[in-house]
Amino acid sequence: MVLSSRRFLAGSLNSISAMRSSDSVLILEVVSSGLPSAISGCNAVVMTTAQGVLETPRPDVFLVRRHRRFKNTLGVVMTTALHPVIAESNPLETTTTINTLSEDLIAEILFRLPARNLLELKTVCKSWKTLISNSRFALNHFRRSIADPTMTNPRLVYSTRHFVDCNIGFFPVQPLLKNTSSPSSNPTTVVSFEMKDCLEILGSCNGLLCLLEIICNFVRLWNPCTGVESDWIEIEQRGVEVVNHGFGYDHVHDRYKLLLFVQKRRQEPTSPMVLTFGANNSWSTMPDFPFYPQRCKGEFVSGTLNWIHKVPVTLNSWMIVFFDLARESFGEVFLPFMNGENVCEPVLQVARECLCVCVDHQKSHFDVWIMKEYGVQESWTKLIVISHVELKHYEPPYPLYLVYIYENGVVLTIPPTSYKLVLYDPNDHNRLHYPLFDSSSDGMTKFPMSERAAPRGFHVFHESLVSPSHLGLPSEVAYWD
Amino acid sequence: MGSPVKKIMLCSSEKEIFSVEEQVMVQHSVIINNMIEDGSYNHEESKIPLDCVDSKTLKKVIDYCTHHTHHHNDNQEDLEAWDAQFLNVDSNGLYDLLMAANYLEIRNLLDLIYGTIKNMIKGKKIDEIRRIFNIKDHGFTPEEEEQNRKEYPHFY
Repeated sequence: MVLSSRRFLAGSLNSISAMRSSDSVLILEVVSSGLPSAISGCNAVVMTTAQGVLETPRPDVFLVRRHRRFKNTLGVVMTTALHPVIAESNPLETTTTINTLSEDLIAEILFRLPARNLLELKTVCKSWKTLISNSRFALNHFRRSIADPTMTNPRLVYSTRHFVDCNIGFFPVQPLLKNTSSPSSNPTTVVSFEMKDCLEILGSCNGLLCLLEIICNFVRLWNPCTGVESDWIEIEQRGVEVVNHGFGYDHVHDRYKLLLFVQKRRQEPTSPMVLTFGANNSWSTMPDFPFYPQRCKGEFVSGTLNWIHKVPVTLNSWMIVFFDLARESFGEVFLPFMNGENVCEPVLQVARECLCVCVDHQKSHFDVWIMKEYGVQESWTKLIVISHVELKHYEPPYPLYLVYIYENGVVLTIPPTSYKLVLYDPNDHNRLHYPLFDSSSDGMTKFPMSERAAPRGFHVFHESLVSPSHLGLPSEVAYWD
Repeated sequence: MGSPVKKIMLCSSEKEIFSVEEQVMVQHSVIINNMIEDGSYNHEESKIPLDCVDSKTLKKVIDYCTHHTHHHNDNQEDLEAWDAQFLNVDSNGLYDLLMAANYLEIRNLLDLIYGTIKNMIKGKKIDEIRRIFNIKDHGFTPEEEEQNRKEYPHFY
C-alpha cells in the first residue's frame, strides 16, 4: 500500500517514509534532522488501516500524541490515505461527552485534582488506574499541587499520646485564617487516626510521614492519604534513645532517608546514622558529622537537611549546617545577619519550599528571613518582622518557633509560656487571633490540642499519592472525610 | 507613521483562510512563535495549514488570542468573566478547542480548558464521569468492579 503523505505544518520535519506496510498495519517513521537522538526510539507509530488509528478514533488525537512526543519539532504528519477511513470511524458524538482523549491530556486534567479525588478516579477505568498508580505521575502530581495556589491544601499533623493511646491528627491551615475568635465562626475540625502503636512523627515529606514507635525504637513510612505503609524497621542499636533526627527525600536516587542521632543512656553520643528506605533498608554511619544537634530536628529543603549550629568559641556565631541527602555529605551555609550580643538561638523553619530563619533582634522584635534560592547567600530576604510586645508573656531570650507562615505574612505560632496556637498578623496592627479548634477526635479531649501542644510537634503535611518507590500498590486504601 | 501591522495566514480544515495579526499568535502559540522565529513561515506566500482545526474552532481560538493580547491589562475579574463567557460551549466545542489549543500550544487557553474539564469531574459519580469521557469499556473484571464499589461506595 502506498501512502500519500504531506507536511502538515512547515517546520523542521524533513521527510516521512513508510518503513513497513501490510494490509492491516503500517509503521510510519518521522525522520527529522532536528530531532534529538534521545527520542529516536519512540518515533514510530503503529496504525491499522482498516479501523483507522489504533486506539485513537480521531486523527487529531493521533496528531496530538505525535506532536507531544516530538516536543522540538513542528513537523506533524498526516496521511491523506487514512483520512477517509478515520472519518468513517468517527460518527457524530452526542453533545454530552468529551471525545476520547489521549493519555497526555487525561494526565493534564488529573494533575489538577486533589489526591483524594484521584483515589476514587482510579476506579473509572483500567487506563486511568494505571496512570494514577504510576509513581512518576504521583510525584509530578505532588509537585504541581503544592505549586498551584488553587490546589494546595497544606495541613498540620501532630501526634498525641495518653498512656498507650496514640492518635495522629490533621487539620488544614487555610481555614484558621477565617475562624478567629468570633463566636459565629466554625471551629477547624481535626481529622484523626487512632494508631495501634505509641508513635512520634519524625518528619513529613512528599505526603509521607516518617513514624517512630517510641517503646521499641522502630520506624516506618506511612502515606495517610493512600494508606500505603512500609514495614517496621528496627533501629539497629538497642537501648538507645533518639536524640535528634532529620527526614527527607533524595531525589537523585529516589530514596527517602532518615538521619538519626542516638545516644545510649549516660554515654557519649555516637556518630549519626543514615537509614535509607528501600526494598533492602540500608544503614550507614556518618563519622565526620561536625556537631551533635540537641534541640531542633533537621529541616528538609532542596534535598538537604538543615540544623542551626553555634560555631566554636572564637567565632561565637551561628551557622546553618546541612546534610546533602544524595551525596551523604555535609556543609555550611551562612545566615543573613551578623551576630549581635542579644541574638539568642535562631530557629530554622521551612516555608514556601524555602529555608527560613527566625531570630530575636535586640529584644524588641523578631526578624524572619527567607533564603529564596537554597545555598545562595545573596537570596536571603527579610520576610516578616514580629513585635515582641504583642506576643504576650514573652520574656527573652526564648526562641520563637513558628508553626506555619502564610502567603500573606500571617504566622501561626505558639508563644513561649502560653501554649496556645495563635495567629499573628504583622499587617493588622500586629493583632493576635486565637483560631478555634474541634480536636475532640484526637483522643485528647481532656487535654485539648491547643492547650498542651509543643510548637515542634507540628509538621506541615500535603496529601499525595506518593509511595516510596520500593513499595507496590496499596492493598487497602484508607479514606478520610 | 509606523509600519503596517504584520499579518499571518491560518488555514482551517475547510480551507478557509484567516488573516491574523502576527503578534497576537506569536504571543500565545508556542508553535507559531517557533515557526516565525526559525523562519519557516514566509510572509509572502505561506499560509499555515491547520487541518485538524475547523473554521468555527479556529475563529474562537483567534478570538481568544486577540482578546488576551489587547486586554491583558484589564482587571482580573473582567478577564475571568470574558473567559467564562468564551468557554460557554457544548462539550464538542470544548473538545475541539482543547485539541486546537494543544496543537498550537496555547498555554493559557489550555489551562483554562483543563480547569473547566476538571470542574466537570469534581463531585461527579463514576457513571457520570465515564459518560463525560465516553468510556464504554472500563476494562475491569466484574470482581474488580465489585471490589472498587466496596472501597468507594460513595463514588458509585
